[in-house]
Amino acid sequence: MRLPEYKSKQVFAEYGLRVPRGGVASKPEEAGEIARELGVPVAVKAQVLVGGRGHAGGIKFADNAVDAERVAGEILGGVLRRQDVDKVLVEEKVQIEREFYASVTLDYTNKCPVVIVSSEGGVDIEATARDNADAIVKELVNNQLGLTDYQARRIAKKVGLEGREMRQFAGVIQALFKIIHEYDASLVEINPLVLTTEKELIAADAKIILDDGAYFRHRELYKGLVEEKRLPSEGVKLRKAQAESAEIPTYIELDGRIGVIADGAGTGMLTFDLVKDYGGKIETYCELGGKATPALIEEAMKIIVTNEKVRALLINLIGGLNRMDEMAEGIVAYVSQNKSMTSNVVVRMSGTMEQEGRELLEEHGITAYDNIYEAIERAIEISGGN
Amino acid sequence: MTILIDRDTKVIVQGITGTVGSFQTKVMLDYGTKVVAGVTPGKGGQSVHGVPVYDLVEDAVDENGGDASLIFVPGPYAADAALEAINAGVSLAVMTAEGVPLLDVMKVMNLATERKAAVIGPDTAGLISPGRCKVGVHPHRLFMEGNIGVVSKSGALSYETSKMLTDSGYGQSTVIGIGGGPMWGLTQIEALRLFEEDAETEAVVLLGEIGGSMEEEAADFISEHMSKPVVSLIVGRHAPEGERMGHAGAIIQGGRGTAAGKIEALEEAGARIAKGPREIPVILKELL
Repeated sequence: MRLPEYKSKQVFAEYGLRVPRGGVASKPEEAGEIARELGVPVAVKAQVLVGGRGHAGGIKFADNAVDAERVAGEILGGVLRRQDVDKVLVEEKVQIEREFYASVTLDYTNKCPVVIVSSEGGVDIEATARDNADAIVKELVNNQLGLTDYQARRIAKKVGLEGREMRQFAGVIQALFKIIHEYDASLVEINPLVLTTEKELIAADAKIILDDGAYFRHRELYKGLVEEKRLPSEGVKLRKAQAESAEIPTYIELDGRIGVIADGAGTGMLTFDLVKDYGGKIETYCELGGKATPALIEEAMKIIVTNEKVRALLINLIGGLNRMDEMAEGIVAYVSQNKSMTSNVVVRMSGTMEQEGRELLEEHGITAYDNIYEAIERAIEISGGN
Repeated sequence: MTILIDRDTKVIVQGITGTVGSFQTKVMLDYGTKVVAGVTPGKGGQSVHGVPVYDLVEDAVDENGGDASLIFVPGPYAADAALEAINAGVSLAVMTAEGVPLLDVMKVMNLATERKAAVIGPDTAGLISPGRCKVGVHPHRLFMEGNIGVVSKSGALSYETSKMLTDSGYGQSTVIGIGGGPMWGLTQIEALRLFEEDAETEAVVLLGEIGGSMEEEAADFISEHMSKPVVSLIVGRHAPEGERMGHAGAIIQGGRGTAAGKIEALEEAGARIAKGPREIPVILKELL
């Protein structure tokens, strides 16, 4: 899960990193109030979890409280790269002398953390890596030793800093490394890390991505983040929230007429590709993971079908860990309550306890396909063709 | 020959007393896998389908031997279980769990490197050498002994493909699910290398998906080191950008990790590309 900028900055502050003074507003008046208290020119920044906010109009500057209220009004309530903007961060505008890039992330190849810094901050780091690789310094961290102080100083030296600024920069990297470990983050990034005209290093932006696999070690934090999301009311938002609370691993809505349920990421993507190849139009893609229960597949069917655009439901199951008798139980539980839906459901079933599963489906008027291609053709046909 | 496992591989099952562990142990025993012992802390002394249960992996290995451990322990405890197995001397640890903290996975991989043990996973279905041994959860009815090596990120996609191969008369030497990522023990490259060295394997099927750059790295390996034909299927060709398609690693971000990029790299490396599993046996027929 990615933390919004203002949350990331709260974490940074806990670790002694300098961040611009400011506050969060969900109404334009609140933004004006924060700017008034700060008493200096401010930046008003949309709190959405997407890159390229600036280019998309999500960051604006204001010289005074009246301006701040006005630009906050322009940003709040809008949509940026498909995300609703319901909060802005209002903070003092930093006086830039130089901009750096600093991050700690996990190197999946070398199986250790890696520090990545650059003397060219404020731009896309991937672009720098492509166009000016020399400007990037990468340092792998030994898991047993951790990030040593001399290593941090060496990294700071390599981006061209000396004296107090070098030591300050080394301290920033050490703090990022600590956050990786203590928050189970997979990425902690500052871009840009600004050296101000007063020679202070300050995190003008902040990005933390938490490792969802470690959520059980940070339950309170995750709970807070989920509660903070606006309560969804209807349509796609409601269905997505329902899928999330049912712990359905993947639920995506697109624009089409077929709902797809698969019990594995690989076969799910295969089904997705083949339906599209054969001209079918997918409205919903839902993947149940390798450890689905009858209740999970039943819930997935319920959620998908409340979407009126879905005319055919294609369920592709090829179970190893998932047992087909259990999946059939879930499907049957749904169709017994919604008999009129039976003819819109196409099931392909193969794998562990397949025979038992097929028999159960047969008793309820569903003949499961064995071949994925035949099931796909049938689903496209029911959905109204290609 | 097979790779990594064979008829004589002695298998330990960690988490054997759980619903899944117990059920899958039964399936493996019926298939002929030599499951010699199980481990569940606190349940030492019991037995599951005739397999003795121990509190510690080292005790299980001391008394029964143990080459591979299949780990059905849930995500939060899976890394500790793998560390225990590797420290007890198994040479192959198979981590089935999803949701293992990445910092913990790194520790497992570091220890495995030090002890020269192989780790498969996390988030894997395991591996099967049809007709001989299965250390995983595969629906083995869909598999058949033969000469095609299969390596896949997704377990289910390897079942689908093996089913098509079997139905067309192509058996498999070994089928490995390396896991959903984003961090892997055994990689596609290592599997390709093992298949290249395996006398029984005549061709390799590489099943990849969107996200990351492993398929591109595998392409480099294919062009430099593979003499055997490789057929590849990359799924997620129509996946929308920015959406995680089920596996932790399966996401296109900022135009990177696309199926098109992987397909291009693999084609350039000399691999043949299938659009779906149905084309794989057709291509193999041309090649073999």
